[in-house]
Amino acid sequence: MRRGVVASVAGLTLVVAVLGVALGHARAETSSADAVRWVQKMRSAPGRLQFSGVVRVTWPAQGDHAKVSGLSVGITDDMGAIEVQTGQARVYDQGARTYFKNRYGWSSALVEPDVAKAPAPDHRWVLVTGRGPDVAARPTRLVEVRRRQGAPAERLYLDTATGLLLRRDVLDPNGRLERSLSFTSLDIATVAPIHAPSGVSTHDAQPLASAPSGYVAPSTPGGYVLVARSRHPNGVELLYSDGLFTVSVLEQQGDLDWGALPAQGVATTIDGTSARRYSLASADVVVWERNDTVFTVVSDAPRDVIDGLLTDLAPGRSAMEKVVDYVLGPFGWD
Amino acid sequence: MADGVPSWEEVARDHGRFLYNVAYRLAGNDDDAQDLVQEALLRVRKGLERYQPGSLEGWLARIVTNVFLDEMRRRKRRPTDALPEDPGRVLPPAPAADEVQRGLSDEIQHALEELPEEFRVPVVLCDVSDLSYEQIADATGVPIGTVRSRIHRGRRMLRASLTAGGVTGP
Amino acid sequence: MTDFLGARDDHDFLSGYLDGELTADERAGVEAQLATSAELRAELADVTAARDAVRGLPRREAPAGFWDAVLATVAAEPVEATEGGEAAPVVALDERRRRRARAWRIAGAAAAAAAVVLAVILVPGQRQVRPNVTGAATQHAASSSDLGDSIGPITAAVPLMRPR
Repeated sequence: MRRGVVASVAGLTLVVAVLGVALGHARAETSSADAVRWVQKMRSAPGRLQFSGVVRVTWPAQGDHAKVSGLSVGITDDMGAIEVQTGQARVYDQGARTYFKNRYGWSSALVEPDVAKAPAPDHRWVLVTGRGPDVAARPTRLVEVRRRQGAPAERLYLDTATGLLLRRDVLDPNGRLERSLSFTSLDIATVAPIHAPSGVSTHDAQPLASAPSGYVAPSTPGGYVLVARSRHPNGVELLYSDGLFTVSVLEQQGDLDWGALPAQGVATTIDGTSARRYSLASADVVVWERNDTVFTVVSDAPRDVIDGLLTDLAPGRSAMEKVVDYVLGPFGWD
Repeated sequence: MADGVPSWEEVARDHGRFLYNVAYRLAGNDDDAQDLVQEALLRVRKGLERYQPGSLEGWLARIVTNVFLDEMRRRKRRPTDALPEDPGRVLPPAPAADEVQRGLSDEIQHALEELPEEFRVPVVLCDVSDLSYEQIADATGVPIGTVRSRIHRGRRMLRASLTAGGVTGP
Repeated sequence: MTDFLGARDDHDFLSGYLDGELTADERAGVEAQLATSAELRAELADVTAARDAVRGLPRREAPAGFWDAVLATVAAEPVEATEGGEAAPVVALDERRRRRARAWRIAGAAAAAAAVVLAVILVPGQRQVRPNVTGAATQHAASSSDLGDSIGPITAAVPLMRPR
């Protein structure tokens, strides 16, 4: 088993190295129009296709070990719905509604918020494109998403024939893999029967025209643009986009029960405020509290990108607190 | 700690959470897990003078296993008044979407409880407490070969019940 | 005769292999067999999945107050020396539960008294927020599925997956 994991990590590294050569290390200053078009094609692909396949997810634990998840995710597309299975759990996505099923049956649907105009993919990112390696035995087009300094933040491998996203790698500024999601086998035009949910109580998000009082909702923190505000039963959700990555900010009023947080988080600080960070397979989650509000921020952007937004989102310490910090100096506050 | 032998309070402090987790995975509910841990700590307290410094967790696992099996035997002889089932389990409500993760753990726990004890115990001791087959053989008093075959069978039964249409029973 | 799982029950060396309980020679032998038998490979995948499912279970924590109560109860128990092995239970577990409940109430009362004192200082009536970390990840994936990489349902399912 361990040998299998090492092989797949090595395999990923090899592919990444080849791609580095393929697209060259020269800094691109502007995005290519081609690359932007490919991203748009990528977004419309599931609506045009019927497909089924298996996806592998890789993400590093604390430290450098990659974990390859025991996946069994299958996707089918039938009448505009997509179903994903893993073990006995199922996710069923039809338009704005997403349903979840476990052993006990279907659970309440999440209704996605109405999204105002999101920025263009090249709003803050530099996109370049080139030929990619085969993924799931299909030739791909690679779209590389670069930070301003040139280091890639993400690589998108799109099926040349249809534009469907076959693989997505998220990278840190040093080129190390933060997360990877990849089809290992894919069948376009074969549809497996899927199970539509029935008798599900829904959980509707209510769109909000503005953030209610007591909630923080900056419109452009850290290069992001606010594209949706909604009220959920468990709080207010804000959705930010930078054209490619999205960040959810969930705000809940009350005191954070630190003891109830899962144990695997890493203690960190955001501009002096204590926070806990989790690196999950699908996203990073950062939790902190400030002025009777608990913030839960989720994003699959690279960590350095999330940090940029967090600093803008967490209101800095007040002038008085800064004075106190200075006076107490090395003795600290805790 | 004197001569490498901890006090029972030190054991409780340093290994209590490990004990509770094993007890919970064996028993399947918090009330029974708490009883098991209490009884196990009592036996630890009484048995420490006979403890040979070595694998403390192996020794503790043996104690909690024996407590569990003793209790199982006692219940079979004299069924206790069943505590009211957790209503969430008898009539599971549609869980909220943000309970999906907990739902999967419950599902696995439920599948564990469906295993007969002779399979559940070695699977829990191997995969929850991470003991070696030899330690499990010692804890349960069966030969290593039997431990291996029960673990294997237990896992195959778990797999069957976790996927659709599983059948339970030996 | 096959067992209810529809296969002969003599491949337990696969679990031995998984758990690192085989000698180097035995491992080599198993790997040779695996290389040629799809059935064995499938069975290995099954037991690996079950093993991972159990290994992936989160640690179950005792509820608040339990440790204080159980330590008090065990400390108060009279100890009788017995011959050999662990002592047999002197009292049935349900009686133990009643004793612990008493200790729990005492511990709880002390905590409640402390809370009364603190309440004078702290702002009363604040709601305790317990964020659901994996739930938030799922919610994010669903909410952002129209904006991101277009296979948002996959990301929504990822929090449900278990690491190998």
